[in-house]
This record gives sequence, structure tokens and C-alpha cells, in this order.
Amino acid sequence: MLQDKEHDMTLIRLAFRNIFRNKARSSLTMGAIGFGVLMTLLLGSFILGLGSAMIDDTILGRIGALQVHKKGYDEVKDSQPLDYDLPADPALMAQIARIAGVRAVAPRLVFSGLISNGSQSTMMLAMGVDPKAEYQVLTTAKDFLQGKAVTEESKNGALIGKDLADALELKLGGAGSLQAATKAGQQNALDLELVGTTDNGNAFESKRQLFVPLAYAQELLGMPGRLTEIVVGVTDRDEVEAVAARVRQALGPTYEVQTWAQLRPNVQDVVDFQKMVLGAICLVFLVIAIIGVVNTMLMSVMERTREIGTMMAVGVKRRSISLMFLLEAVAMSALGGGLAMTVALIAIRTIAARGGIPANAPGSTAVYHIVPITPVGLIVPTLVATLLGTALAGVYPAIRASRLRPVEALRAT
Amino acid sequence: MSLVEIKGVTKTYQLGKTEVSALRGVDLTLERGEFTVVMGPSGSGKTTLLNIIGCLDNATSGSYKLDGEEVGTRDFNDLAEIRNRKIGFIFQSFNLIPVLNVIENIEFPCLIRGENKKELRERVQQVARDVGLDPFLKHKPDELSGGQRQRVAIARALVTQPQLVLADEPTANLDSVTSDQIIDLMLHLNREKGVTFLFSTHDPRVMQHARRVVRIQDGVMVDGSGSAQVEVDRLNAAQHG
Repeated sequence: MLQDKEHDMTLIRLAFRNIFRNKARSSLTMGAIGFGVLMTLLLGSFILGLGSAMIDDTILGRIGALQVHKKGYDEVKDSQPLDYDLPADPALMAQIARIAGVRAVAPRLVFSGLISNGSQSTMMLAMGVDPKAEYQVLTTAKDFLQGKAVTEESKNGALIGKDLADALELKLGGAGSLQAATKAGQQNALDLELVGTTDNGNAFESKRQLFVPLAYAQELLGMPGRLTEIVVGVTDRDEVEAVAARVRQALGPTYEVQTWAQLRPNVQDVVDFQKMVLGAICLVFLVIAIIGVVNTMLMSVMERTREIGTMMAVGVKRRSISLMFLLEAVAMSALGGGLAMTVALIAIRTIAARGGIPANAPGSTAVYHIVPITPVGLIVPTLVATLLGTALAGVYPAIRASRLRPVEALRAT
Repeated sequence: MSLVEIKGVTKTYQLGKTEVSALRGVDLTLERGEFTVVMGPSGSGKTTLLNIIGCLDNATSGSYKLDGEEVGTRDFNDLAEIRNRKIGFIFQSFNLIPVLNVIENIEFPCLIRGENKKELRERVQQVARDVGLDPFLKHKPDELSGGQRQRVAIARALVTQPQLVLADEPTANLDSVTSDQIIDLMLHLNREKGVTFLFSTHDPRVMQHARRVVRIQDGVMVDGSGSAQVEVDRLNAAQHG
């Protein structure tokens, strides 16, 4: 479509000057395009930030990046998890810890049973943890703590979900007991002392979850020196799959290694759904921008009909007329979109530098900070979609302009 | 070889269900260096004739040769090329491009055909000097008077060194003093540079200077070789009672 330098430069110069001919209208159109780009990038940065926060919360606050179990555990974990136990072997832990990309490892003994305050009892899901190792893997687990964490020193000190503690009217320092079936199938019970409560925004965990020292759990379940899972932290979240493959290779077929995405597929589903919603929102903004451009360009063609006739009279060809209007549409898009992108990036970095925006999960007092993430993967598609969209929007007005007959165009007022 | 040779040209428009004949078999020949006026009442077909001669429109039938080449059957892009290289236009309403300044308006037809801007600059400035626009080269059209704007239009028409300049009522929007200046300028360009002019006008001052006046009425050429003075006298008589 382009011809030679002088021809093309003349059309580009004309296109740019025509944009500023009707400043108010062009500003409104560029504003619509810019608003679309700005909102897409801002929303995108927060949705990515929210998704990232959810993944971080899952990996650093709940389940770790990877979990190692005995082969077959995943299928029976809801019925007979204790049958698939592992040795609490420091050599095994050290072997995993040495694998490239592994940051920390922690043993757990997961079981279910009843918690009682002496007069009432209810079901709970308990985790026997090695407090020191646990908090090295789950670095944010203490963020939603009231009271104290589980420690090795307080041998029967328990950390309980806040709703569970409230339901049993257990106060910090209060006493209760845990009852569970041992691996051999006998019922056993031990006293506990409430040292802390936790509320991380997850209703199920708040109502049912409980943490006790690993040795306490082993004693309750009659499983000294045993555990059911090893929680693994990684140095780089994006390398989880690669680290998982290395751990699988190192441990062999006796063990099963699952990533956080396999353990909590709903988290990945939510993140994917958020991205889909973002895509739909972007599409709406793009359509608004396209309508704005079509409207502006059609008005422009109507207003400049005689000028188009004059240009044709002095020898401008149809394709050059089309090209000029297309260039105007694309230039408006580039100006509006470019400015909006700059503003968006500055805003994202400023908000991120200030620690993000605090937000509560519904029904929870837990406060998360959603830190916007510069949507690098969104910048190029947004700009390309905007430029292509507005170029497409310019096609009809451009064709309409180029199809005018010179004699009729020259007669226009 | 004549510059313009038109034989039996007709032009029919479709207005709804009605067919309107704007030209009904016009013959016209223009030689190089002529300063000719086409006159006729409104609706007589003179603008249609100028549009066809200017390659802005195609005839329904008949033959049109420009510079010896048949142009009546060419497509839009060919006609655009011919307009750009062989024909200059001067319009009643000046028709300048408002976002371009004087010098950019003048050089526009040359740039869109790919002439080098630097090499062109001297010729553009010479044409601007010829039409007396030297002090206004950086002015935008809305900063110029009507006469100055028409000078820009004349310069734009001449800068491509066309074989024919078509002027449709070039003085209709100008006061008498400015009209005289514009007519003098075009006469000067015709005499000194040999530019061929074809006008459509009712202005007796233009006709006074025309070497030839052709009259058209109801789409038919009434007289193709009229004396300019006879036509001026006829027009003056009609205007004064």
C-alpha cells in the first residue's frame, strides 16, 4: 500500500495534523482508547496480582509448593491416610532438601479426629508439624496468627482455626482434648492447650483445622518416628514443575510428588477464570474504543468530503485516501494507547512500591495485600489488539472516503 | 495536435427514475496556449464539460483526447495520474487543505507523485514568487485573505507544470480589486509561460481578456468560436437591461 518516501511522509504528516484538527473530538476518541488500555492494564495488573497472591498464599501459607507422599496416598487420603505413612527419616529430608530449586522441607502427620472442650466435641482435621521446619516452608503461615504458634517446647500446645476455637468457646490458654483412631485402629485421646488461633480467610480451615507438634501427633496416633507427608518449599515459584520432576527422579516410584496445582486445582481454576474475565473486560473496552474510532472517522469523512474531492482532483489515488484515514485511526490509537500505557505503568509501579491495596476475603478479618504486577504479557497483546482493532475500525470510513466520486465530493459543502 | 479534442461527448445522469442529459453531443477543440472561457447559464452543462475535460468524470459517450491520448475510457487511478501530471485546477472556493501551510499546499500534488521534497523546494518557491506569495509561505489558509488563497490555488495548479489549467469561476468569491489582480496574474502566466487556461465564468472581466469564448446552452455548444468582445457586450447588455 505504501509507495515512496515523499508520498508516504506526506500522508503521515496529513494524518497526524488531521488528528489535531478537531481537538475536542480527537481527544474524546483518544480518551476512549486510552481509557480502555488504562483499565485493561490496571485491571490486568490487579488480577495478576490477585492470582499471584492466591498462589503465594497456597504455596507459602498452606500446602507448600510440592508435597511428597507414599505412593497411593492420594487415593486413600480421605479414608485411611495413616496406612500410607513414611519414615521420619532425616536422611530422606536431607536428600530432598539438596535437590536443586528446593528451599526447605518440613514433615507432617495429617490425621482427623474429634476435638473436645470437655462438654462439646466436633470433628477436626489436624496436622502434626515440626514447627521450625514448617515455618521455614510456609513463611506466611504466621501472618494470620493470634496468640502463639506451635512450638516444640509446648508439647501439647495447639494452634486452632478461629471459628473452631469460637465454636468450642476455647480461649487462649484454655484446655481441651484431641481424640483420634490410632494406626492400629484403637481410639486414643490427649489433652491440649490452646496457644493460638489462626484465620487465613479460608472458612473450612478456620472451622476445622488444627496444628499440634509432630511428636504430640505421633504419640496420639501411636506412630512414633512416622509421618504422612513432606511439604516442600521452592526457591522459584515458576520452576515448580521442574523441581517436582527432579524430586520424582531422585525419590523413585515409591513416592508420589504432587505440585500445588495438582493438590489445589481449584486455585488454578480460579486464577484461570480471573484471566478469562479479564479477557472479556478487555474485549468490552476494545469494542468501546472501536465504536469511538468509527464514529470519529465517519464524522471526519463527512466533514472533509470536499477536501477529499480536492485531493482526488490533484491526483491522489483511492488507496492513498484510504491509507490516510487508516493512518489517522492508527495514530489516534497509538497516541491514546501509548499515553495510557505510560500512565498505567507508572500507577502500577507506584501502587506496588507502596505495598499494594489491602483487601479482605469475604466473611474474614484476614487482610491480604493485593500487589499489582506489571502485566508484561498483557502489554503487547493490548497494544496490538488496540492498534489492529482501531485500524479495522478505520477501514469502513477509509473505504467510504476512497469510494467518493471526485465530482460529487467537490460539490459537498 | 490539439491539446483537447472532444467529439460528440454526451453525459447523462440518473436522478431517481429520471434521466437527465447534461451534455448532448459536444464538440470542442483547444489549442496549446489558449485563454478560453466557457460560458452559459446555470444548468447549461459547463461545469459538467469542465469536469469531463478535467478527467474528474467520464463521458457517457463520445471521444475525448487530451494531448493526443484517448482518456475517456481510463479507470480512476489512470485518470488520477493524468490529473496529477497534465491538469491543474483552480476552484471557486479555493479548496486548499486547511492543515497544510502555503508552501505545503503548493507542493502537495508533487509530493504525492513522489517528487523529492528538497529538489522540489526551489520550484515551489519560484511558483510562490510568481504568484506573489513570498511573504506568506508559512501561513495556514485560514490566515490568508480570499485573494491570497486563490493565489495559493493557482500556484498549486501550476507547480506540476500542467498542460492545461481549468478554472471554475475563479473570481466568483473575490472582490473586484482582487479579481482584477487574479485575472492579471493568470493572463501573465498565459502570456509569459504559455499556460493554457480554460475558464468557466460569468465574470465579464475574465471574458474581456479571453481570446475565445465558447457558449453552451442546454448541454449543446451554441458557438465554439465566439469573439470575446461580442460576448462581453452581450453580457453587459443583458445585465444592464
